[in-house]
Amino acid sequence: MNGPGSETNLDAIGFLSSILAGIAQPVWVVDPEGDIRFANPAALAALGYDDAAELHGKPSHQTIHYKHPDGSHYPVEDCPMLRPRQTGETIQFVRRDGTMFPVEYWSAPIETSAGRSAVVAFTNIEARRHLERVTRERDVAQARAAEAGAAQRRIIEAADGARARLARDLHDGAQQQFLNTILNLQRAQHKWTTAPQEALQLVKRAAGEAQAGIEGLRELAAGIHPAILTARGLAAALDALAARLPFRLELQIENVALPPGLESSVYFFCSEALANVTKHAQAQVAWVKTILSDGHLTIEVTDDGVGGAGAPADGALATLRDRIAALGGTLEVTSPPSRGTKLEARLPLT
Amino acid sequence: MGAPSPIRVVVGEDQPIFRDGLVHVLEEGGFEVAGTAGDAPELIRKIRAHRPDVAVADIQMPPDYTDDGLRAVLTARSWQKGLGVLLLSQFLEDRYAMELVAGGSEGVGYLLKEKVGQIVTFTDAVGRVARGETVLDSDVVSMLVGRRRGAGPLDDLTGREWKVLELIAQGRSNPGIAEQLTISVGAVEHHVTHIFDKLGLRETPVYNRRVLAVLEYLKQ
Repeated sequence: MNGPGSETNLDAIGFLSSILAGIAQPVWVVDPEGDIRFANPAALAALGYDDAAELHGKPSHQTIHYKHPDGSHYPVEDCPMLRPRQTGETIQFVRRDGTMFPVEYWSAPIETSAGRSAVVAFTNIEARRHLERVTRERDVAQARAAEAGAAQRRIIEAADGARARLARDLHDGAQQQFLNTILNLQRAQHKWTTAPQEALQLVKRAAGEAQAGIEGLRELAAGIHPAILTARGLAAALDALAARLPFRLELQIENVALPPGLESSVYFFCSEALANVTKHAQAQVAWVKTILSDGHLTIEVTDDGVGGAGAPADGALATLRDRIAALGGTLEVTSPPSRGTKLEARLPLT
Repeated sequence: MGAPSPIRVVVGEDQPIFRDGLVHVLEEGGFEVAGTAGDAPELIRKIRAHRPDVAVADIQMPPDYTDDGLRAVLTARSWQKGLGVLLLSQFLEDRYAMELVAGGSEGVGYLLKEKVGQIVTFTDAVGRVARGETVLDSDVVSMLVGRRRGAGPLDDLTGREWKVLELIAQGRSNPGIAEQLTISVGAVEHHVTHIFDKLGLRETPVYNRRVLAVLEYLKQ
C-alpha cells in the first residue's frame, strides 16, 4: 500500500538521520526483516564499529545481541527488543570484538517504505553500574568496619571487665585470707610465752586461713588458663572442666592437633558457653562436639535446658559472637523455648 | 633388733623455697632425703644415682612446665622396679592421677601440693607409697566421685557405701578404711562386697587392682 504519507516518511528517515548524526544518544533503525537500516555515529562508537557500512543491512539480533552474558546462544525468537517498549529495559549488547556491555534501551515503531520498522535508542550503563557497585561495596565495607570496631570494643570491654573481676576476686579472697594469716601468726607470737594455748589456737587458725587462700588461688588459676590445656589438649581440659559443672557433660572431640592459639580460643569459647548453660539453662546434660571438615572446625555446644536464649540484647551471647567473629568465624544460635539451646560456631583453620 | 633404716627419698621441685620446705618436713618426719632436683632431667639423674625408695616430685617443672615431673618418674619406674612415686600437683585434676595409676597402681601416689602443709597427711602418704600402697588425694577423689553422670548403679549405693567407695578410690586398704570409719574390718569387707556387687565389678583380693577398677568405673 503506497499511501500519500509514505514519501513523507522516507524523507523522515533522511531528516532523522541528519539530526541523529549530531547527538550523543546512540540510535539505530531496524527494518521489518530485523536488519539494521541506520545507525548513528554514537551507536557505532558504543558498539565498537568504525563505519556505518559495517552494520548496514546486517541482521540486528545476530550482530549485536546474539549471546547471553554467560556466552550461550540467544535465539532471535526469544528477543524482546523489536517489540515496542515505553520504559527502559536492561539487556546486554555485544560489541564488534565480542565483549558485552549492559544497556538500557527504548524502542518505538516507525513506518517506513519497507513497512513497520523500529527505532531503538540505547544508553551504555556500564559506568553507572560500576559506580553503583563501588558505592554499594563502600557502604558494605563501612558497615563491616563499624561492626568490627564495635566487636573489638566489646571484646576489649569484656577483657577489661574480666581483669577487674579478677582483681576483685584476689582482693576479696586470697589477699584477705593471707592478711588474716599474718595477723594471727603475729598475735600468736605475742602470746607465745604468756598464753601458749591461745597461741597454738591462733597458729592453727592461721594455717586454716592460708589453706583457704591457696584453694582460692588454685580455682582462680584454673579459670584463667588451665595448665592441663597446654599439657594434654582440648579434650582433657574440657574433661577437667566437666568435673566442676553442675550438670553432666558429654564430649565428642576430634583428635586433631590444633594450633595452640586456636585451641585456647576454642576452649574459652566452650567454657564461656558452658558457664552460660550453668547460669541460665537449668540443664541436666550438655554436649560439646567438634567436627573438622573442609578446612573448618565446627564446635557445637548443646544443652537440654530451658532454651529461649539469643535475644539481640543477650550480652553473654554477644561476647561469644564477638570472640568467634574475631577469629573470622560465624556463630549460629538455635534456642526454641523449653527445647534447649544449640550454639554452632564455625571457624576457618588457616 | 636395731632401728629400721629410714626410708630414702629424692625430691624434685623447681621452686627453691618449697623444695627446702619439703626437705625439712621429710627430715622431721624421719625420712632420709638422698637428693634434690630442680628440673626433670636432673630428677632422673638423681634417682639413677641414689636409687631411693620414693621419689617425691612436682608434676609441673622445667624444662616444659607441663607434666615433666610425671614423665620423669614414669621413666624412672620403668628401670627401677618398685620405686615408689608421690606426685604433687598444684592443680585439682583427676586426669594425671588416672594416668599415673593406669601405669601400675602399686606404690604410686598423687597429692595436691597444698596437702604438704597437712604434715601428717603428707608423711603418711610417703610412707604408704614406700610400702607399695596407692595414695590418691581425697579432694581429687571427691571430684571424681562428684562428677555428674547419668542414672546408674551408683545411685543404689547407701551413704555409708559411698564413703567406703571414696576410701577405696583414695587407695585405702580394708584395715585402713576400718580405722578411718571406726568400724570393724569385717564390716568394711561386708560393704566392699556389696559395692562391687552393685557396680557389677569383679572383686579382687589384690587391693591395688581394686583401686584401678573403682577409678575406672568412676571415670566412665
